[in-house]
Amino acid sequence: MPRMIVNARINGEEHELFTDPHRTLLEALRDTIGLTGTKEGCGTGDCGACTVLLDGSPVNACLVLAPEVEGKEVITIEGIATDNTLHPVQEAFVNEGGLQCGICTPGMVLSAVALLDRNPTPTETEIRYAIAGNLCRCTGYDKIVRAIEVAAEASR
Amino acid sequence: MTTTQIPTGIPTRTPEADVTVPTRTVIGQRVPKIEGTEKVTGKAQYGADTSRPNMLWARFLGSAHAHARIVSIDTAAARALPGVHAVVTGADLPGIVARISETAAAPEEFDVPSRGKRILAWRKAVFHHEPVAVAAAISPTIAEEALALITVEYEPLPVVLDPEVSMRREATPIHDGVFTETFAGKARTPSNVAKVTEMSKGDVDAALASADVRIAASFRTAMVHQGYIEPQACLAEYAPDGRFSIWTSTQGSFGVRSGLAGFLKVPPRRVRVTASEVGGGFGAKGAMTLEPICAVLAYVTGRPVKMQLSRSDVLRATRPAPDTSMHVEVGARRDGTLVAARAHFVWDVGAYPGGGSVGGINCSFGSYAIQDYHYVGYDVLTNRPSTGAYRAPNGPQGAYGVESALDMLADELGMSPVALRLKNAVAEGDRNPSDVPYPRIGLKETLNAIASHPAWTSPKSPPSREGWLRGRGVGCGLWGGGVGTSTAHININEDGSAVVVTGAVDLAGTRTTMAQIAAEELQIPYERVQVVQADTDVAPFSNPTGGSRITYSLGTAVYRAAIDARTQLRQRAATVLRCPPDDVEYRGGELWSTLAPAHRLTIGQVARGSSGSGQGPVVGTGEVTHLLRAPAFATQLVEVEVDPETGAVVVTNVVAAQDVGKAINPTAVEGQIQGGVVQGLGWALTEGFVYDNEGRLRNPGLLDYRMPTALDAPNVECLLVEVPAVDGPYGVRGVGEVPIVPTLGAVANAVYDACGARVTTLPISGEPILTALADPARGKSSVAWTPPALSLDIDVVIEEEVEEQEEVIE
Repeated sequence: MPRMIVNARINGEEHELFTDPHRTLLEALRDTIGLTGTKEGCGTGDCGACTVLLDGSPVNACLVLAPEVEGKEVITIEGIATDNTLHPVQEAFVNEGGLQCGICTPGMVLSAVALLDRNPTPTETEIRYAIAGNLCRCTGYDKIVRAIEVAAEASR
Repeated sequence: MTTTQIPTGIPTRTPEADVTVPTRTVIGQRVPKIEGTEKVTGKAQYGADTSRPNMLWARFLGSAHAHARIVSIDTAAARALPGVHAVVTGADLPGIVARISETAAAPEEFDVPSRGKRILAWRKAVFHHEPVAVAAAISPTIAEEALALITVEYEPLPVVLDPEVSMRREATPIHDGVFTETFAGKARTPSNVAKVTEMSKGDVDAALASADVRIAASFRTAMVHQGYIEPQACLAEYAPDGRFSIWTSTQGSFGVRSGLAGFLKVPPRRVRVTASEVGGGFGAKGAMTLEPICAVLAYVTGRPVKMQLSRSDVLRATRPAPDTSMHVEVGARRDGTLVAARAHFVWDVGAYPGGGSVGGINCSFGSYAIQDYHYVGYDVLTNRPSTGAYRAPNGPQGAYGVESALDMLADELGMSPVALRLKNAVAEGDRNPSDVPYPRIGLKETLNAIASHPAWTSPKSPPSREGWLRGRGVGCGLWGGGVGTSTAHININEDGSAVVVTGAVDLAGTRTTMAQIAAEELQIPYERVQVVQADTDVAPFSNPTGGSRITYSLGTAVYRAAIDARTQLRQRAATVLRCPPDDVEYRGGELWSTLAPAHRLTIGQVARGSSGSGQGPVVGTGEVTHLLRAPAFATQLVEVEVDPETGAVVVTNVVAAQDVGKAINPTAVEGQIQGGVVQGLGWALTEGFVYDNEGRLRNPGLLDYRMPTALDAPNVECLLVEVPAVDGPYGVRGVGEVPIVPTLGAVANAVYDACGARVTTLPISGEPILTALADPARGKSSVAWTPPALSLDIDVVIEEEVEEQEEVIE
């Protein structure tokens, strides 16, 4: 099949993605427009490293075909900090030690942002549920959970 | 999560301490991670994130069989596909390397039983999905289409997956060129037993016979994967001047440089390696994987070549941790004193030799002082992927067996498992199984920390789930400590800030620790220190990151570099202040002459003046190679709830006490402990490779290879015990490996405490618990399996220090 043009709003800017119809949103973001902050850990939707916000909801970008985002809004990790100011979730991850190697961090941050957008006062269980689709192999999750708690507190 | 830091009453000896250094300001502080902002904004560059113009993409074709002769490989159709620039097989490698190096390479050199040399299977494939061919094309899709056009004719050979079968004398050797290695020498005839490690002392038979109580039990663990979230990725470029540039996710850029130069038969100056951020290593990225293939393809095509493994590739064809069969016997007096121990360990190291048996045995039994012992470890080849280092290599498996056996012994003696361990715990001067005496260590302190913790002293609370059972278990463990060469430079900027330059790879936050050490010794604010991890053309040499050596060893180099910079600053200040250097006081980032204290210079002024006055900039250097190992010990308490109907296990709480020597950044140290414990919980409860009879992995994805999620992981409370190490800065000990060692045994003991099922196979959850519950003996005894006699016909005596064999990269 010939390549196609997909129009989407990515991190607040209109983009024309020139992509093979079978490529994923993850590949389009990384290889077509160079937004490599979105990571590939498995390509099968099991690890959550490629989590982005699609019209405000967290999705695995490896499970979304690029043509599916036509006319939609995509927020990646590059679109979370504004005007050189970290989002409270990002700041909390840095200050609370909620990251080690950092490969899961972009996806974790986006899952946490999506959670706090719809539930500003989550319980620990709600936090753990919200990030249960994001695997982390370094931290044991404890400090990530604390960071999200701190971010929730700071956002209030 | 609260952390208790337990003072031990032992004063810290700061090596090379300058008496003028005031009270510590930043050592021990929870400063934010220096590289945190890059990582939370997506700017940090990992292995797959670097690209070059005109770049090609490579993919590999894996063997369809776990053991087969490769009769022929037809790549003509793949080469003819538009967009394909190269297809390379193992048979092509000698010729390509000969062209690169301009030296004739004998084909036999590439057909040796070494995973590092046989980067593509040649003549024979020895595990399923072993790379047999690679294709480079203008897109990943076309590279994959090319692979589908390759025809490989295989002649299947018998597949052996059980190490206990593979090590029998009548078994057919997987490789013609593997001869059993022992401390005494090498065998003359090929065998699937790659190595035998034996340690003994005294008369173990007599000692066991004299024991009041004896325990004998067999255990088996599953092959598990390190589970790093970032698949291996590499980009290689070849320039017409003959140089290779490599960007790769590795634990050791200099290790890759020497390894790749060796493989390509070129001098190291022709290879430049830039280590990316590493998205999890845990030992697995200490060895080369994609670098030789990418370099060869870049040379053949004349274009940059990028390769990234899929998750399925990672699980099927990288280097997981060995599964282990072991039999453990311990004997004790009625009062709990251990008098004898005997054990054998069979490590299924997969299709190529490798392992690290010595460390495994030392981690298994090294926590206890035992007079008479005999331990034997066997590295056994099977048709599974060759294994490699995973966090305290072979320690967790062995400690699972030993800690379980000790729990059975405590049960038999009617003694508290903590009291039993305290009675036998090693202390300074005791010797490890390799007969090396321990320097100052803190095992007893970690045991006491658990013994006095409410989670141990308070009565068990009732289970939170109806019909479930609640239990708690303890386990101990150690890691002997990592050493090696480290070097650091510190450049003092004209604004009084400092840049630390190292060539060691930061896996999880050691840049922050290095900045703290530099800030402390230069007496400048932490925020004024930058840490640069430079490539092999720029950075001073360091060994790879592994074995929990970085804070200990690289920390020493940074410490020395800071002292050196400070000395130089005093000398420079002396010329400005017109006084002898010895009269220059250096405190809080200011310098003055004791003769005229009113005239003060800042570091920035001295650095600026030096640059302008012709004296040159201030660059401190620090190097270290020889340090006494600093063994680190841990004791963990695990609480579980078990469903006797289904065998489901929920871990409700973990308390992890660890001797960290000195926590330079307690947040970072806790992160290491919590991460290690949760990896251990996965190993104990849910993780394990499942193979079919043909040797194909049945769970090559993260849905079925089940690592703990945030919902599975409990709170892990950390008790940081600080018994200062004899060497190294501030008494620090490496903290990365230890926390995974005690966890497996502690979980098994907690499950037993909960439901009375002594589970002797991992992973524990589900069926193994139900099987153990149905067993009337309930783990009180088990049938011993004895390794077959090997009849080693030893050839040459190799003089080797036991300790030297421990040099594995974790």
